[in-house]
Amino acid sequence: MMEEDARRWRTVVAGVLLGLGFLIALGRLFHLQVLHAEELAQLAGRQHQKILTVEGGRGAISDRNGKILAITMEVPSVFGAPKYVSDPRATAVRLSRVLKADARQLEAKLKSERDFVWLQRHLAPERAEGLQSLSLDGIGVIPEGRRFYPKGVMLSHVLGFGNIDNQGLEGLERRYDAVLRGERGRLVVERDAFGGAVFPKGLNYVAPSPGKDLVLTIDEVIQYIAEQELAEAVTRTRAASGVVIVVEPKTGALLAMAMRPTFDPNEPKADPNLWRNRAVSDAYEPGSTFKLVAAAAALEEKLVSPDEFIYGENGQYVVENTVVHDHHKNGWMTFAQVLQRSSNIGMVKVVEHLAPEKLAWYINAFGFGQKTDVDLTGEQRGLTKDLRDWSRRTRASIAMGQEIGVTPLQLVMAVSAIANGGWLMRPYVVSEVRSSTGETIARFEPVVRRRPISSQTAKALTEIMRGAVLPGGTGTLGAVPGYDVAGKTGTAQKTDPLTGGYSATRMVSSFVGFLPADDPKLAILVVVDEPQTEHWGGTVAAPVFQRIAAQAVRHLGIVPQTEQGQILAAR
Amino acid sequence: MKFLAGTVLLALALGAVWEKMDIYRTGYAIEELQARKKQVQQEQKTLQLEFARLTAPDQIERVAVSRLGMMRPRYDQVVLVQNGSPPSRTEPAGRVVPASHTQ
Repeated sequence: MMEEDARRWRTVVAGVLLGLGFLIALGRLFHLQVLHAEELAQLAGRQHQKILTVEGGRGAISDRNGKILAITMEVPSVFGAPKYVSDPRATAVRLSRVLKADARQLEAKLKSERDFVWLQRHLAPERAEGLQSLSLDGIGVIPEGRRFYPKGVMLSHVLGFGNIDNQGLEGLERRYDAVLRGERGRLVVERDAFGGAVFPKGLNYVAPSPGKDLVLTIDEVIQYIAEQELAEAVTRTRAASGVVIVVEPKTGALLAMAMRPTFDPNEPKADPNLWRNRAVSDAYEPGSTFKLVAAAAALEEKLVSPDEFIYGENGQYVVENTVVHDHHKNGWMTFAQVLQRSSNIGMVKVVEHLAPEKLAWYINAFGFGQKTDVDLTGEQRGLTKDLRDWSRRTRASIAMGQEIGVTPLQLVMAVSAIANGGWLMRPYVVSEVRSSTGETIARFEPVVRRRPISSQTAKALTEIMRGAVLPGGTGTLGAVPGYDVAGKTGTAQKTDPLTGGYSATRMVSSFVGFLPADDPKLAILVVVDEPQTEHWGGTVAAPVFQRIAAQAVRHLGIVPQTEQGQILAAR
Repeated sequence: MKFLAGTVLLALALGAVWEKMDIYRTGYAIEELQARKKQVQQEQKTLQLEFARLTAPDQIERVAVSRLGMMRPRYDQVVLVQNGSPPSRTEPAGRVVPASHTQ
C-alpha cells in the first residue's frame, strides 16, 4: 500500500514537473513567436543576409552638339579580405609587381584587423587581368565607376570634378550631383556560416537606376577657340589670369566660359586655388566697361542725348578735391564720343546730373550686387556699396567703374541686356536633362529677369558702342571684318594693398562687345588680369575679342553683312 | 493497371525534372546574355571615350597642322555662302545658315 502511494506520488510530481516545463516552454514560445516575433525575425535576417550597395552609373555630360565632355567607365578596383590571406608578405610582394605599388604598404593593409580593405582603386584594365591570373587567396577585383574628361583641361572650371567615390565636389559635377548620380541599388544575399555570400535572393534585388545625362549650352568649338586665344594672350602679356565668357544675348545661354590658369579634372589634385571659377566668384573693379551702365542710366533718364556736346576740360577735372584725368586731352565732344573715347571727365560730368538713388537703382536693375542665379557653384554677389555709404565722390567713381566690384558674368549679362533690347536674361549652362536611354526629362528655357532700360535706350547705346570699334574709338582692334561690332574697352587700375590707393602698374584690361550689332548672336567679354607687357583694354583684350568673335561667327555660319564681308548666292 | 500508373508517375517525374532543367538552362542563357550585354555596353563606352578624345578640337588641330600640313585660313580665304537668293536690303542682317553651307 505504502509502495503504491509512493508510486502515485512520484507520478503526480513527475506530471506536475512535466506540466510546468511544458508551460514554461509554451510561455517562452509565446514570448518569442508572438510578442517579439518581428524584432527577432529582423535579427535573424541580419545574421543570415548581407546587403550590398550597387552604384548606378554616373550620367554623362555633353555639349550642345552632343560632344562628350565627361563620361563614366567601369574600371577594375582591387580589394583584400585580410582574414583569408594566409601569407600577407608573400601576397603583398606578388601584388606589388602587378600593381606597381609599395609592397610594405600593401602588406600593412593585408595585416589589418578589418574584414575588407581597398588595395588599389581604378586600375588600368590590363593590370587587373594580370592580377586575376595570379589567383591569390583573399584578393578580389570588382568593377567601379571612374570619371573621364576626354577633353582634358577644356571647360574644367565649369565641369568641375568628383572624388573617387563619384561624389561631385566642384562645378557642374557638384551642382547637379543628385541628377548625375542616379539612385543606388540594393542586393540582398544569403550568407554562409563564415559570412560569405552564397546565392542572391532574386526577389530582394533593387536595381540601381543609372544617373541622368546633362546637355550643356556650351559649344565645344567656341569653348576651344576661347581657351586657345585666352591662353595665348595670358602667356604673351605674362598676365596673372584671364577670363572669357561667350553668351547668346537673347537667351542667356552660355556658349563658352574659359579661364586661365586652369587644371585637368582627370588629375585635380593640384592647387585648389586653380579650381575656382573666376567668372562667377571673383569680383573686380571693371573700369571703363562700367561706363555703359552709367550711360544707360543717363540715356534712359533723358539727361543726355548721344549727340549732345560735353566739354572735356582738356584732360583735367576736379571732383570733390580729386583730379580726374583723361588719357587724351579732349575739348568739346558729343556724348557718343565720350564713350567712344572712354572719357572719364565726360562721364563724370554727365552723372553729376543723375541722382545717386537713380544710379543705384540702375546698378541694381542691371543685376550688379546680386547673383545672376546661373546654375554654377561658387557664385558671388560682387561688391556694391549701400547708398548710405556713398561718399560725395562715389557717384563719379562708379561712373568710371571704380568703387564697385562686379563678376565677369554679371558684366557680360548686363551688356547682353543692351544687345537684347533692354531685357536682362538669366544666364544658364545646362539646357537639358536626359535619361540614360536618351529621353528628355527636363528642358531649361531662357528666363527673363527684368528690363532695366527701354529698347530705344538699348538701340542708342548700341549705336554709340559701334563707334567705339571704328576709327577714333578706343576699341578699333576689336573690329571684326565683315561684321558690325558694338563694344567697349576697359582699363582698370587695381588697388594697391600697401598704399590703399590705385596701383600704377597693376591693371585689369578688358573688352566687352556683341555682334552682329543690329541682330546680336554673340556677346563676348575678355578680361585679362595684370598683363605685364602692355595694359590697355584696347590693345590687350580687344584683339582677343576680335579673334574669338571672327572664328565663332565662322563656326556658327553667321553671314557677314557689311560691305567688307561678302555675300554670295549659291545657285 | 499498376504498370500504367507507374508509367504515368515516371512520366510526370521526368517532366518535372525536364522542366527544372529547362529553367536552369534558360537561367544560364539569360545570365550569359546579361554578361554579354554588359560587356558590349562597356565596349561602347570605351569607344565613346576614344571617339571623344580623338575628335577633341585640340587633337584635330594637332593632326591637321603637324601631320597634314594644314593651317588656319585667313579671313579673306573664307567665304560664307548663303543658300538661295541674296538677302534684300530690308532683310535683317546676320542670319544664321547651317554650318554645312559654310566652308
